[in-house]
Amino acid sequence: MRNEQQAGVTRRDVLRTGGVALGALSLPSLLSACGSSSSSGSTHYKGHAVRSDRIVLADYGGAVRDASQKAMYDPFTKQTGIRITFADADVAKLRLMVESRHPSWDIMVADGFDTYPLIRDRLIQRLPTWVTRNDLVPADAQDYATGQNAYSICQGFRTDQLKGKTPETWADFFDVERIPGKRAIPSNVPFGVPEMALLADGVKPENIYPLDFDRAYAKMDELRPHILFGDSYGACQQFLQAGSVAIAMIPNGRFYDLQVRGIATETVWNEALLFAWSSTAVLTGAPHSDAAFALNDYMAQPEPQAELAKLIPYGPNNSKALDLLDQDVLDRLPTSREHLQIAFRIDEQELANIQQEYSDRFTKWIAG
Amino acid sequence: MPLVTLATRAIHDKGASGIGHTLTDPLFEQAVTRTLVLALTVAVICLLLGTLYALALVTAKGPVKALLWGALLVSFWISLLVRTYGWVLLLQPNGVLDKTLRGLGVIHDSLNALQTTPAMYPGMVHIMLPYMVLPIYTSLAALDPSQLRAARSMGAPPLLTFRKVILPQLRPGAIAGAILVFVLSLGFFVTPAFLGGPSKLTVGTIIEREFNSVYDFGAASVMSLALVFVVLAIYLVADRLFRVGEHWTAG
Repeated sequence: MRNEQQAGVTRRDVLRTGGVALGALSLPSLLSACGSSSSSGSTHYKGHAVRSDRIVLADYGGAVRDASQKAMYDPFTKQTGIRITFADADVAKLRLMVESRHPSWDIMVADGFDTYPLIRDRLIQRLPTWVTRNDLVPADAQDYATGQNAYSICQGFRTDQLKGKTPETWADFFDVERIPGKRAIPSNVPFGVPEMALLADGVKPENIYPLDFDRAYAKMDELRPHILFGDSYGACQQFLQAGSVAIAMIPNGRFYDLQVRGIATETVWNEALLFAWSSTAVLTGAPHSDAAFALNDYMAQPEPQAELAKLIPYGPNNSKALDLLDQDVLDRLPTSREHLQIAFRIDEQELANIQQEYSDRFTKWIAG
Repeated sequence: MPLVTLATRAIHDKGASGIGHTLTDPLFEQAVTRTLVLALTVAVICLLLGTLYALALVTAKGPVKALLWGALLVSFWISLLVRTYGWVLLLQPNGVLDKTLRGLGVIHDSLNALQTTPAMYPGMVHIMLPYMVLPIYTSLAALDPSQLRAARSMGAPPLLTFRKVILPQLRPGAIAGAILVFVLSLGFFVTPAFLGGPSKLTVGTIIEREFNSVYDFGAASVMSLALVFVVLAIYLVADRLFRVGEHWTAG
């Protein structure tokens, strides 16, 4: 997820060493995959020969990378002997690299709305038929990307700070009379802002798209004096932790992070802005495509996705993974049955079409 | 070289009319005014505080002197980001300042000081002060204490001593420090960005915004060049004034 890299320690690209040796010792796989690797360095994955012994994966770092490493990358390396190195994801950079025909990355993790233009411009490859498709990725993207996770941008507040009324809807987010105090909003990303402003202004969920930017930002003007801008999700989270704001609007995992650290925080799931999928896709002309497809397939399996959801509260994109999770884990995911019913689903396809205007209007509004 | 690249970019992307358009953009003009007022005020405040601090450094003895030096150097060594973030923690709603003032009964709610234009000032003065103190101190250190004794033995009152003996000695350092602080403040980014927030743009933060959020590299280039030229002009003028000053002292 974009800008989640502030979540944790910035990690230098870590070379997973000893892959080949570990591959030979690998435990019986969760999957039907064949986990042996020969001395020449080439290996097999589900009967497909993989010659590359490494993958360069670009993502947004932070807590999501750390959790993915534990749930997906390390077990994959253990099974196949294929090492994974990291780079920092950047859509513009991907575009330049692929267009110059010398991509140095193999895989990029991207938001759903960032993925559609990549498919349209053939910047990512069609997946071979043997790679598992994820059913929670929309049908028009399934053949190009497996899923990574689902997240919601929603309201959260400290239960020990808000006396009296607590927020339930986005209209409450704007109601500074009944819920006094500042609101934290990130200034670096526009995601969900016009949608939530329109919901607060009384637009019916089914009529949010196409977005009426004028109306949305007129509504946001009302709230401006009560906003404290964070220059990242992390900064907004800190404002909430310090009690500087009454409510913060950030991804749901941020509130869970506060809860884990013993700070009494509640996540408002009602009208949570659900970004239902993000993608893992292989770049056109990727130097280690064969290994990248193998990792794609591995990450698409229910077991690693369920493991990931246990570590970080973002929803799996393979619905079978949900069946593997206990209720207490489901309760903190944006895609549990209960939370799905009350969420507002972001239209990634629409966002992809209006991306330029979507961010321009936000940037313009921020500068006031 | 980077300047050439910038100039090419500016001319190529914008053209003459585009450059004019960028420079007269109301957002940019607001940022320029805000920055000039900020840089000038910060330079003046630093000049006053810096002179006092430097005088204290020269005259203090023993542990007090060590303490003053320590405070100055520690503030110089601590990362700029850390010092700025310290101000964020101080000024944010329900932060240290709010809690203190509430405890004293001065306010009941919150100052809401963070992400306002005034919030930039204390942070900027804090960051810039060492750049002022050090040049003034260097000038003052050259002052011969016997001159002070001479002035006193001649019966000059303290104010006269300051004006006739200390001030001329202090002047070159003060000018150098003031210009340094003013010029540094003009292009400063981190502190205004953190304390002023995304709506209170300065020249530094608006250039960053054009580059990283609006992706108008042409506009960013035009603004950067404008900043470079202004800074260059100030240096040239200052240099002239300086030399004039030197001749005057020598004569």
